[in-house]
Amino acid sequence: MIMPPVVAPARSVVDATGTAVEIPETPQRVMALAPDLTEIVFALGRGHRMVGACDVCDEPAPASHLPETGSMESPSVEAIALLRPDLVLATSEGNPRAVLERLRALGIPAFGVQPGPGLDGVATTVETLGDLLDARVEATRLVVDMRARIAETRALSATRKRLRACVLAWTDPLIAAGHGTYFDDLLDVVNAENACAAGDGWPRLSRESFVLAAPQVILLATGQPPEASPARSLGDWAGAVPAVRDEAVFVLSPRPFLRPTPALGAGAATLRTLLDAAALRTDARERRGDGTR
Amino acid sequence: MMRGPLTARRLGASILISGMLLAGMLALALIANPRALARDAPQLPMRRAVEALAGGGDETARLVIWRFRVPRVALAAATGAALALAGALLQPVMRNPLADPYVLGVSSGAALGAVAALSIGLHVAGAGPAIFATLGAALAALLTFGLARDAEGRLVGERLVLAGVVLSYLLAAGIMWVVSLSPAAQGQHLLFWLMGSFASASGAQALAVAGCVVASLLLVMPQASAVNLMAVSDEHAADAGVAVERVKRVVFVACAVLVGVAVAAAGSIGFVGLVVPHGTRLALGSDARLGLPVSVLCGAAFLVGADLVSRAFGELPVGVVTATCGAPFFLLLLLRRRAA
Repeated sequence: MIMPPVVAPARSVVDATGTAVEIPETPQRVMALAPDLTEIVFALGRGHRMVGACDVCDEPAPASHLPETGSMESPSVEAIALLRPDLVLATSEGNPRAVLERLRALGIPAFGVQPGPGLDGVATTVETLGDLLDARVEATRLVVDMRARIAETRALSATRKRLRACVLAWTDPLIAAGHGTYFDDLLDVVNAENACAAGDGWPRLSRESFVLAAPQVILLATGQPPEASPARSLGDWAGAVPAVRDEAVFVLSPRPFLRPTPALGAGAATLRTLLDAAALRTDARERRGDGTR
Repeated sequence: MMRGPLTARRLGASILISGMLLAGMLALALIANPRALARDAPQLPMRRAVEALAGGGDETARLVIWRFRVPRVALAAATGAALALAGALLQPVMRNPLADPYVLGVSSGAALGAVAALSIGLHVAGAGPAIFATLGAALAALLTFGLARDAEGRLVGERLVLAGVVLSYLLAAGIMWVVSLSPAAQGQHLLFWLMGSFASASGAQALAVAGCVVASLLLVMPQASAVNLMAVSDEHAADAGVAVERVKRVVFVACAVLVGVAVAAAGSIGFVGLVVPHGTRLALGSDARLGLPVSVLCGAAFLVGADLVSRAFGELPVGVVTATCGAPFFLLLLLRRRAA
């Protein structure tokens, strides 16, 4: 017998799926079905209220000790119901909508978050969660801090020459960060042009398009452990790409880069140092005078 | 329609026409910049592509043409030829219009073999996956044909399709076991590979598949008359002096190798082995001496065209394209035949 959670419905909030969700004024038993949502809950100082998280919710460290609710793609409704949450946070980027509906049918308040485009979308998610978790002050602080770091990095990057860069989520087939992704925004922040934005979201590229795009910097966001030589991870076909020739290929660490959280503010500063290093290598080659084409 | 007895002139004309179709498709695929979805992706202007093909042009254009497009188009052509030839051989020999590497589980066997090879860390462009895939295809073919025989050892049409479909499900389950039990990144890699694509083609892969097509064609063309007789019945062929079991063995080995190398190089691509031989038969009649070489040329042209569509839609998996174009085409042929 699954006991229904003890919920005192205090208010009704409309979520990203357009559903009015009845949630308590101050949720006490919170669950997040995606790692970025878990990180944001902890960043808002509400980690102690979490009673479960998805199987890849491993940041910060205490999150990895929470009871697991299953994978992002197929959360276990049974496991979630047994933990009697009074608020389940899910994302439209990875969690199936049907799970939200099944949870609601069981009387569990399930709130769907739709991460908006780019870095602004991250800020919106933080503010939404801050509102839900009675942590509005903390949310504002996080957003202000993230925006300040980004503005600082943008100002510091403006003096360097603009480079053509791209972020790859996968190398075979080639999948690059396109328009509307937070990587597209981050590249702009560090004064780089997104050379591979062949569409919205995460477009697939042919090898010939990639060579013709001629990125000067390649950032690998594959989540794979770094190889001894990142420049070789694309294969020898990529030898003519300027970034590979200049060894300006960098592996982005999963944290903070692979999850849309406020930690991307600090990530922007890291990205700037990588772009600065790449600019030095490009300059060095241009001074040698070879391959200025 | 050009039906009736096979003359040297008719054979020559049919091969010339399908050869021209293939040549036209190859030329288009080498110089065209199809773009329907990937509008912003950088493209090589057609003039620079033609210059590079002619041996001139700038360095980037030569790289794009010779390093990427030529191997890609060549692998698409060779894979199409291999799959169409396998279908064109299986249909008359099995006396079953649905016999196709996909339906008979041979493709799934090849895919499971290749997935197993990739999951133990063999490199996708090496010979390992091709060998595993060929073994998988051969095992699947043996199982299907073994299960399809009745008590007297004769192949039964319905049993063949049924056995093939059931085996396909079983092998697909095997593939999902391997994919699910792999570490996340490797599972993702396998899923991408299974969807089928020529985007990562290498010249060596294209040469390997093309070599198998040529070798198989040389092996089976002398048996084309025997295949014609077997299309009527095995007894009829045996009465005419055909060593039926030997021809079947030759056909099975050729199909296993063709499907194995094709799947290992490009992933699972359906419908080519079904649609192309049927189209050829409906247009030219069922003489294998004509059908086998024409199917090879048309299969090559079909898959080169399908890959062009895949490029136009931002590297759509090519198996999706062959199914989308292939299934309606197949229905059209069926309707035409009913009307005739």
